[in-house]
Amino acid sequence: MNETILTTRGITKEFPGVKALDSVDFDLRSGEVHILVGENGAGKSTLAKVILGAYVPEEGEIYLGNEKVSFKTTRDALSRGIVAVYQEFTLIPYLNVAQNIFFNREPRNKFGLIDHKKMEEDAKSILQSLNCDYINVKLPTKVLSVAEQQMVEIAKALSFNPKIMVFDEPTATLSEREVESLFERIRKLKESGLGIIYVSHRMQEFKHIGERITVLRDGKKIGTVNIDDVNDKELVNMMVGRDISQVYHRSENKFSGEVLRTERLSDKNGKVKDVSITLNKGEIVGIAGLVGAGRTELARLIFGIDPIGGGKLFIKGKEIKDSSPVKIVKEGLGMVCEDRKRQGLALNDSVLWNTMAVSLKSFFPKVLISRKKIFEIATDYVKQLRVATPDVYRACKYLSGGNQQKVVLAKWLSAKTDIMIFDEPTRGIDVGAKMEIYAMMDKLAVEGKSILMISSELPEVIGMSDRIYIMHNGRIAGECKRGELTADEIGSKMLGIGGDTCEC
Amino acid sequence: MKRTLTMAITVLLVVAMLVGCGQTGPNVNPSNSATPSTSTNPSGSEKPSANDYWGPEPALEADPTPVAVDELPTTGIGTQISTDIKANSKYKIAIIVKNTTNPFLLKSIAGTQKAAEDMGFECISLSPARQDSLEDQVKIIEDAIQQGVDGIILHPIDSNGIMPAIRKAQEANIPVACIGTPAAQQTFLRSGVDYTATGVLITHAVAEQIGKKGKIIILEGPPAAQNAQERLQGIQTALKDYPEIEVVASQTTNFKRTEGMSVTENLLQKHRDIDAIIACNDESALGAIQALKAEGLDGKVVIGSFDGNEDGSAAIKNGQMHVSYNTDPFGSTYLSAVYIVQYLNDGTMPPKYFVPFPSELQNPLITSDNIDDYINNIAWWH
Amino acid sequence: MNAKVATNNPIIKFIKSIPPVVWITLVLISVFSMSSDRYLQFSNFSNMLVQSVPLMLVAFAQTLIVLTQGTDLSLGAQVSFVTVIWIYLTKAGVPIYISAIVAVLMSMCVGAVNGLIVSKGKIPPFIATLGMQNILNSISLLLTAGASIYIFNPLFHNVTQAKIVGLPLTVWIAALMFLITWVVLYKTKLGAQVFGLGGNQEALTLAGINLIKPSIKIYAFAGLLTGVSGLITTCRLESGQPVVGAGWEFEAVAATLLGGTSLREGKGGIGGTVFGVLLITILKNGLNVSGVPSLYQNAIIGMIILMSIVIDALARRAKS
Repeated sequence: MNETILTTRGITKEFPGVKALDSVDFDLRSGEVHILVGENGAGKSTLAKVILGAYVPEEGEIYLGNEKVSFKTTRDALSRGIVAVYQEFTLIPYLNVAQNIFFNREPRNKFGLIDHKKMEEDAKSILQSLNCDYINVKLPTKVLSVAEQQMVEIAKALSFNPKIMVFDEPTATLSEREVESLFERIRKLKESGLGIIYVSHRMQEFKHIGERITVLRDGKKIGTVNIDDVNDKELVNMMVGRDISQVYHRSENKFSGEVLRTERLSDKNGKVKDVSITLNKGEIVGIAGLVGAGRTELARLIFGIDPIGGGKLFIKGKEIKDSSPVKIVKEGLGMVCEDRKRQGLALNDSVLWNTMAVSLKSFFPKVLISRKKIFEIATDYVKQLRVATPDVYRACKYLSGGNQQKVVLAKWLSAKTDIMIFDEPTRGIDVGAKMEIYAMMDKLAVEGKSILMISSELPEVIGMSDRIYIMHNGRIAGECKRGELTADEIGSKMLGIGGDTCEC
Repeated sequence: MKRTLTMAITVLLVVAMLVGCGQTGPNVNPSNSATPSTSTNPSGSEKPSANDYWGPEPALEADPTPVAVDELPTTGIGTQISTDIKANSKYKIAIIVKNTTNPFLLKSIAGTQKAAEDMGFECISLSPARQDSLEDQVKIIEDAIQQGVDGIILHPIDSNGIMPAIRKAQEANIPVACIGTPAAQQTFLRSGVDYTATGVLITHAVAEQIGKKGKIIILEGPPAAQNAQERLQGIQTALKDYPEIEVVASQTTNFKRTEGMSVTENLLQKHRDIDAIIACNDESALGAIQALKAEGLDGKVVIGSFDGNEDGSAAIKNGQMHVSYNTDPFGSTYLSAVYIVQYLNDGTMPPKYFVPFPSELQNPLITSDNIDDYINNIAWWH
Repeated sequence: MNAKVATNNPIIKFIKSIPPVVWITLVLISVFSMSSDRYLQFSNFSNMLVQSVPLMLVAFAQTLIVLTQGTDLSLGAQVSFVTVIWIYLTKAGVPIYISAIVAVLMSMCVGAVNGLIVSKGKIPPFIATLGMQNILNSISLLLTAGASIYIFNPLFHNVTQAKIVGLPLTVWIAALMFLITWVVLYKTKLGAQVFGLGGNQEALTLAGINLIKPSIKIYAFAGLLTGVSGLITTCRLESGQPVVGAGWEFEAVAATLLGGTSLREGKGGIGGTVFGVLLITILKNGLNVSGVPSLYQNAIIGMIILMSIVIDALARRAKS
């Protein structure tokens, strides 16, 4: 249909210890959205960066139309009309919208000074073309919402009059509605004849927007397919190299003895009301519910972050009063939370220290520590959990989301935690890493650890839990054993519809 | 490229301004440039005015001859100093020091305060917020002038750098008495010890003690400090009289006890057979004594030093130090205050610009012979 | 709250950007004016303005550097260096205006080297400039043999005494430098890059801008400011002073922070810095004029600085 505007042949890019791209061929046509998918570390962002000139490949060629090009810097690519909209924002917080859009290309007046007026008018007209004229070009970008900042990013990219735009996981920080409006604008850009490369791992999303999909795995291209010719299962197979039915695997397991019990537990804000639940040794208990049903609040209450408003909390038969995270951790509880970047990890610290953060004291009760022993312990966990990192000294910020989550797990495991609360453990990580986390949960349960799992993804709750509590409006609206209820039945309970079929 | 151009233009602008003001200078302030050859007022019987101290040649040389004891308006030295003169009205006199950590300077303030009590004037003590900052000292002089003080007693941080501020005071007809470090040009009065003379006197005392021959070490003050340089010069001048005395080492200890100790320790490794150490102040001498003790040489080396401070006096009393010089900040500021009050009362000028105090006429050497009298009756640090 | 209401008017913008430091300054003036009847005289204010000029220029330089998320510890040493170089060269027979230009150019070169080390060498500014501070201090001390150096020239006196429309020339020079700095910061590409260096270095890299050139330019411009400060300081002290600038860099940081510039994110500007410097100067002058001993002065200055920064932080938190 449309002409091919960009082609890569045999792109190979190596980083110390990893072959990030292995002889990858790729092509982009004008007027299409070409999706690049793959697990984290599959090489999709690397490929995008090669096309953008941010990385120089060791081997391979890039063609624009029929002309062979080689980009040494992003500036080279920019000059050929290839621009990027990055996942992490590249805006300068205390410069205004117009200054950001025309950063370093500011129009000058006859004195050689910046012509703010012209710059602001130009910025306005670009934003208008994006239907974003509600954004005030004189505001510092710091005060804009995330979605507005995203639009400024796109406007900035457009100000280069590009032929090719690269979106690198642009929806990671957007709400559903914002994603929809972003897509609308991407469609509009596409119609105007731009070629768009869209890097993502959100399967549900890119089906709405893409024409073709190229799947990468371990730096190799698995294939390019038309979006209409492929179903989810096949896609996952391509990405993961495994069958989706293996995703939720549970081993036979026996439960023994109650380790955690709440009796009519309430918080002080009315977000959690009279919740009574139990958790047994070796059991995975899922808590399903809509956002705002009080699931995370319940976890925070149990973990001692928020004060208890009423009711009782027992851990291993012992009532916990005046709970605090310090006390709870001493009782052997650990929490793997959703916002791992802020709450779970010290991102600038190494894998090693994050792994040992909680357990250092138990390994070394005396003053001195042994670096050698720490190294051995941490390395052991890294191997066990298959954390993809060149070595344990790598700072956590360089790891992918799934690997970061594994480090959080390692932290609790090394602390000999036997009751774990997982709050949205797989949010924002790719299928392959998810499966590893599920396998890890299963293994933990078999080893006799107990897991309380909070998740918004119903398949995950149903697939992994031995027992499910369904929360609605801060109360337990239902309970069922594995396989007792279908997704639809649980879903209606989450919404507060339907009779009470199980005891609470 | 444009940016480079802008920068170049900026530089040019600034320079143009400087050049411009250089040209307009005479118009702006004709009195100064019109009479650039006006030299310093010899020893002035009139109240000084700004231009008298404003000439191309700095008057650094000052006649260091002491003033006879009976010509001074005060009697005694150290804390015993007193005067009969009273202030005619409640003058405001500022004592401006370099810092407020040096006990020497603190006693300067105390001397002025005692003078204020005795004579009946108001004493304001000022010190740079940043210790030893010339720029701050200039500012506080400017501020004191704004405040309307009648006289200033000053420990200048730098002889030349302080001149603009002193000139401002003089333009406002405020007499400035400098203690210790002098101003580069003649002011109303200079007092405090004559550093060169102290160096000479102490060196003679040490040389006599070791029989005019032997090996000595000199512990110098901070290389940049004028008083340290003068003192060293005095020491070196006096040593010319003793051809049999060999200076085996002369190193700076920056007036500090710790450095005095470490430098001496190092030097003792090479020179164990020294006969004397001349340290440019008591603090470094005390450091040297520590080092000697550690080497088991205490009591075997003659120590000469300057200041007569509290610890130094104790060292003389217990025989670790041979001699020190009473530099008496208390007395010298007191004396300066008296001269300023005299001038403010009836225009009487000091007998000469530089009145060394305490000079050799005040018997300033402290040895085991007079140490008890010194500690009990005279010492400025009481 | 109405943060989304942007205004066109630079004056209103400026007034809005005024941090609490201004109000604190005004309060201080009224407090001190009660303690002495001489305080409110014009001559005293003129005196304070003159006193604030050298630090003012250094603080402009420091503000620029802080906006790039750096701290230049060599600024004070640059001032000393310039005072020494100017006098040293003049003493050696170079015409006084030429040596002044050379001194400023040298300080700009020093800045450029700082910028090069920071950007190309990827050395944290704190460390790079600490090294430079020591180098400059030692050069200054070596050239002067540790003492101050001195020449006689009526130029110095003329510069400090000259007045234009009732205000001292040095104050006008400071105003001119403010203007130049303001233009650089808000009207040139370099200025935008300053905010970029401080706010989002990644953004600059991705935009294909190498960080080296802007860094060099900014540090060199800081060198220009310290150079002029050094010339004025020389005129004020009529001598080359190898240690005169010691500690100015920190006072400049204090003034910068007081003025509302943040150590993170590249937030702030030089408008506030003017008041930061005035606050410090007024405080010192007021304490001197009311005869507060220097040992208390430091504590009081420290407390006022902390207080203003806390008030500023609280005010900002209340706003958001």
